[in-house]
Amino acid sequence: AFVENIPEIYILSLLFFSPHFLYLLISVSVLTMDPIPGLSKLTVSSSKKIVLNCSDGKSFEIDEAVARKSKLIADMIESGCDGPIPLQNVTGKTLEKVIEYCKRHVVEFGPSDEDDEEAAEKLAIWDAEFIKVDEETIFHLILAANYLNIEGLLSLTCKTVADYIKDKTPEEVRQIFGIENDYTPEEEEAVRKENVWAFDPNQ
Amino acid sequence: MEESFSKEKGKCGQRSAGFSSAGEDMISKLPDSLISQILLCLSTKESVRTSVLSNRWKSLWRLIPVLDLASSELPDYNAFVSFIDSFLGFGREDKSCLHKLKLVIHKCENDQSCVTRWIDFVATPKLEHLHVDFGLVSRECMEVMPLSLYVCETLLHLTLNWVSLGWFKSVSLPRLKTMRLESNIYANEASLQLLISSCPVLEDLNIVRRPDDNVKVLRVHSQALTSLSMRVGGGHDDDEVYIEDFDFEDFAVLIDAPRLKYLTFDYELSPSKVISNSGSLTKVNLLGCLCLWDDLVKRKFFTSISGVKDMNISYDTFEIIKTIMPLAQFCNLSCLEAAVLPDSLGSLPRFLESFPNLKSLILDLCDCTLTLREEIRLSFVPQCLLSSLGFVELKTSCCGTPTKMEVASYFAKNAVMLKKLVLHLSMLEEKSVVLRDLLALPRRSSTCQIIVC
Repeated sequence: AFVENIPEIYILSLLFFSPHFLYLLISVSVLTMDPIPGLSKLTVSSSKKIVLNCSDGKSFEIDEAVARKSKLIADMIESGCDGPIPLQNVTGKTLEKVIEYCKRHVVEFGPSDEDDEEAAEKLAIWDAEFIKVDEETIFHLILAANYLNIEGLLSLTCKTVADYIKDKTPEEVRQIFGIENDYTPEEEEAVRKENVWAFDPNQ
Repeated sequence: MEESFSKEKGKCGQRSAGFSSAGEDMISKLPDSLISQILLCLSTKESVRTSVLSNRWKSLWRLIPVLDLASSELPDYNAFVSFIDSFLGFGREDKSCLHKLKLVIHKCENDQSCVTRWIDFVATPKLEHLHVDFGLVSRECMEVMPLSLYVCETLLHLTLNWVSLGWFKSVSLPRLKTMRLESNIYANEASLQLLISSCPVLEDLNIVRRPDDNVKVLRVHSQALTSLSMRVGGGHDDDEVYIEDFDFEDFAVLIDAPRLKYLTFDYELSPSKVISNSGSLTKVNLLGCLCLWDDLVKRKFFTSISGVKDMNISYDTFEIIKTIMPLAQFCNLSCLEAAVLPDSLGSLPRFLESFPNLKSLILDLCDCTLTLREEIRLSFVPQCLLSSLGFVELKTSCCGTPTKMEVASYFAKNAVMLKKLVLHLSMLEEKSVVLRDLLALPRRSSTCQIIVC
């Protein structure tokens, strides 16, 4: 009796589990030996698109590999986030620039060392051009790179801002960034005295 | 009216060339952690200077987990010590959060020694980068490094210059990737060897030794090492150690690093250099004096590096190779840079026979005497000129024109696959004349481009 019942059970269970069964079939044929958790990855196309929604309503569709440059987004994908990803802290204008950076930095390096060096040089030149933006954009990029956890972009933007502070007097730095000096003359004198050596232009 | 006037005045005051067009102070609005990121890109001195910008910035510089300071940046050593003590002492926690400590210290004999307590304090599970440099200091004044240094588990990069590495029993540096040791004194050979071999992921090692550092035979045994650079430097003037007078007879370097790809000897004066397990070697630089005297040692050495793809040799090395020609076959070598004395040019063709697959050759014809020499005849044509050599560059800063022309024409006439021949001229030579003469030569390769600069 048990043996006779098996085919029915088999068919029933097939029907019951069929969507998953189909996914399994596809995954076996396309992604052999790949132990992937989460059904969102079991699609045939290798360049999956991720949709990002900004705070001001704009929407961007990008390749998964590009999106993964952001550790925040990569973690979300890993934990099974399937649909559009909401990014409340980033506006469309900033995200567009961020995506431009990520797209360029997804490029793989060549096999030999010479290719690596040349590719790195080209990338550095591209970065230098990319970061020629106004103050507002740079700070928005810093905040976005921090929020999205994109190490390279955070480094690049912080270094660019630091270059505006380097080799400048405090007065010049205040002027460049619009920092208001809210020290009283006595307070300022005390701060300078605390580390006299740092303010000495001759040292 | 007054209101609008002061508003305008305020705006004009804020506007500046370059950056802040809006006039809004966006940088101060960033969270502490991000300002700290920005300040990380500056030197410690510059970060300290930001304390005067505004109240917001008063103590931000103290949050940076990096201290990079030279004692010369402060008016005197005591000011240096008190600044560091106050910086390290700051913080609500007792433990140090420093990621990087870099100190370049110049002190006199009488100055107090503080490095030990500083290293002890920062060598916590946070420190990734430690650089201690005493500049030129005499042997007696060398400070002994504390034991806490050798068990700093998170350390990634270590630089120790002009210090004394005392006796230590255990080394636990499981994450150390790069190490640079310059002109230090070691307890003995075994302790330096232990330091190197105990670092399981050490990739990059750069050692500049002094002849009196208590190490005669240096064994570099490392499983992960990919890049090694060694040379012998000098001592401090007070030590009266002159390399010329020193006897290097018993000195040896024994390298066993199966993953080693890049090797540089730059004035490495040990007469015995043995490399085992050199299968991964890709690029070798043999600069300055190679100091190998024994023929057997020389042959073994060059055989052990015969698998490399790229080599750069000084004229001294070329002279050494001359004594053991024919050299072992370097079948994988495609790029070669060699400095050759004019008197040795005659050996060049036979020398090139050892590189059957050579694609690119850079020759540095060094001769600063500018005397007219006998004409050099290069006639023998090695295999690589017939089959693979595509690029030749002649750097000939001090060389006489006839020699240059002979060498250039040798390659132009014989190199079948030559695509580009570059000839560097001195200020005194007439570029157009030389180029005309070169172009008049019969060229074996029809696609050869000749460049004179």
